Amino acid sequence: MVKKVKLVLNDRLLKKRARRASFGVRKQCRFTENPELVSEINYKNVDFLKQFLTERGKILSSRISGTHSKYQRLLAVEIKKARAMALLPYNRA
Amino acid sequence: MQTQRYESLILTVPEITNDEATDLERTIEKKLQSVKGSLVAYDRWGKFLLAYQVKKNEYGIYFLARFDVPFEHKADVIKELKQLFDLKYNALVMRHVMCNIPSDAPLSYKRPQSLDEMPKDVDQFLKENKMGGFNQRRRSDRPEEVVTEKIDEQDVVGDAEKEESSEEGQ
Repeated sequence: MVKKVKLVLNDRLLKKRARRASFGVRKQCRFTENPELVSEINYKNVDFLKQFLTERGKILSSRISGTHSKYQRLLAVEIKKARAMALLPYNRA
Repeated sequence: MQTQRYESLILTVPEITNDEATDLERTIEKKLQSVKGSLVAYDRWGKFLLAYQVKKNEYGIYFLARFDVPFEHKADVIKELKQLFDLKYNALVMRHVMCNIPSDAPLSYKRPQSLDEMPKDVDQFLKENKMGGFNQRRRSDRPEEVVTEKIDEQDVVGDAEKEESSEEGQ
């Protein structure tokens, strides 16, 4: 027999919920919102890829840009290809 | 006969001559024709300012080649082409990348703007886009200066009248 466990709303859970709500509206993924943008991810399309780099030339983390992990992986591969061809910098002083 | 389409971006030294560029294209084409493949497109992107120095060069010229290769000869053709870039054209080709693309995809693509396409003359660029530069106010054909001239004339007239009236008084 399976024992049923009731989830008790304790102090810790309430605090967690409050913390999440305090961040406001959650960031949206640009590629899930309009799927046509996915075809733009290409190592030749440097101007588009530049939106996902920091000023220093690092890849912007998905935590900040809100990109879903599926597209973040695609982006990272194409950015690295462009870097190898000297289209994008590895780092910028 | 089933074929696989490939795409290769080649970065060459900035001093490459037209003869060397056509020679590079012809050798790729010959290599493909020997296995009944075909060169679909060969584009010259032009001169670029590189993101970092490659072989002590600040600038470089990009070429994009797209070609079809029969399935049986896929592996050896790619290997031979890579060897060609690395060994025979070692002095010309600085970097190259090869990747396969779907053969039914359209051939159009987006690429960065090269230095040849960029407007060199600042004044001409501003004229074409109808923009004023930093020296906007110094130009003689600005309407602001015409207004100031008018005010000046009125002042001069006013002064002259005053002088006349003062003379009469004396």
